[in-house]
Amino acid sequence: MTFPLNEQEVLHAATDHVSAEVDGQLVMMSVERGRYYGLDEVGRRVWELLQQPIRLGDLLDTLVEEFEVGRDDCAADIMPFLASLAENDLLTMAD
Amino acid sequence: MPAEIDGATFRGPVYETGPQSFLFSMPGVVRCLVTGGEEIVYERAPGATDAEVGVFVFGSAFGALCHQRGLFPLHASTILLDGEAVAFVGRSGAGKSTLAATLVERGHRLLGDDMCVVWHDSARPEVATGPAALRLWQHALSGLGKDATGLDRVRAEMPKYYVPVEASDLPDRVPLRRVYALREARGRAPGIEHVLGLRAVNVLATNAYRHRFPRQMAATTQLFQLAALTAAAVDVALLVRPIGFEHLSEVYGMLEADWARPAVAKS
Repeated sequence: MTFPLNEQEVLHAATDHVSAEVDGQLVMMSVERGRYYGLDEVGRRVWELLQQPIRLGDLLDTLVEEFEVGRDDCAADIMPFLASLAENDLLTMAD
Repeated sequence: MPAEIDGATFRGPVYETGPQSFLFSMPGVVRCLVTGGEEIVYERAPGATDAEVGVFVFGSAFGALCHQRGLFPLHASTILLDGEAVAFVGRSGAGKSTLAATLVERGHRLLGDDMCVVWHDSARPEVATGPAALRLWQHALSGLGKDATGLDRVRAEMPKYYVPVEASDLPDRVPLRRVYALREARGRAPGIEHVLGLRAVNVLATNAYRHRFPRQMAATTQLFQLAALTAAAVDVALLVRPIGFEHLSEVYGMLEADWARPAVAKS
C-alpha cells in the first residue's frame, strides 16, 4: 500500500483484529503485532466505515458530512491514521 | 513427567508451553507439568523443601494454569478495603509487598501477595480470597522495624521471607474495585493519576502475572479481552510516589485521600 492513497482505492479493515469498548473508547489489538490502540471519535467512525469495503472518496464524503469539516482538512487529518492502521496490519486494500 | 511437550508454541531454557500445556524445570528444586487449566503435576528434586517447591508450583505453574483456564491473573499485592479488593501492580522490586505490609500494619487485611486472580463469571470482576502471606526481603523487614527470626525463607539462598498474615473469615470472593500501578516519582510530582480506556487496558495487560505467557501460549487475544473487560469495570490509577521507607506514611496519606473519594464509576 503506498501513501498518499488515491481516492479510487477501495479500503477494508483487516478482519484479523480484536476490539473492546472501555470507558467510551474503542480499544483495539493488532493480532499480528500484539499491540493495543485506542481510537477517538473520528477514528472510531473511520473504523466503523471500514468494516465494509469502501472507496476512500466515499469515506471522505461521509466524514465531511458527519463531522462538518472541510474535505481537504479531513483528508489531511485521516491520512496519517490510515497509514498507521496499514503499518499495523489493520488495513487492507479490498480487491 | 515428559521431557518435552508436543505442539509447544514456545520452548525456552526453563519452560516450554503450548496453548493448554506448560512444562517447567528448575534444577535441584522441581519439575512441573500443567495441563488443560485443570491439573498441576510436580516432581520434587531430592532435598527440595516445601517452601522452595511452593515458589514455583504456586508461582509460574499456577500462573500458567490460570492463563490456560481463561482467568486473568495479575502480578499484584491485594488488600481488602470496605469489602472490596484493591490491587497494587508494578514490576518486581517496585515495592508492592512492602506497600501491602504497610497497609496490613495499619489494619487492612491482606488478600494476596504476588498473584491476584480476577474472575469474570459474575456481573463484576471478582477476586478469590484464601490464606495469604507477604513475601518480604530482609531490608524491607528491617525498614518496617521487624526481624526475620522464625520466618521461613522463600528460597534457601535468598534473604526473602514469608510473613504469614492472620487468616480471617472473608467471603470466598470479593469484587475488585481498584488497581494502582506503582511508579517512581523521579523528578515528577507524586500523586495519583486515574487512567481510562487504552491506558487502563495497557496497565492491566502489562501487569498480568507472567505476562509473557499469553503470547507464548498463543493466547494474546484472550489476554486483551480479559484486560479490557477488567479495565471497563475497575478504577485503574497510577500511584506515583517517592521511594524509600521514610515516605511510606506519605504514600499511605495519598491512598487514604484517594479512597475518601468514590472509585471512578464504571459500567
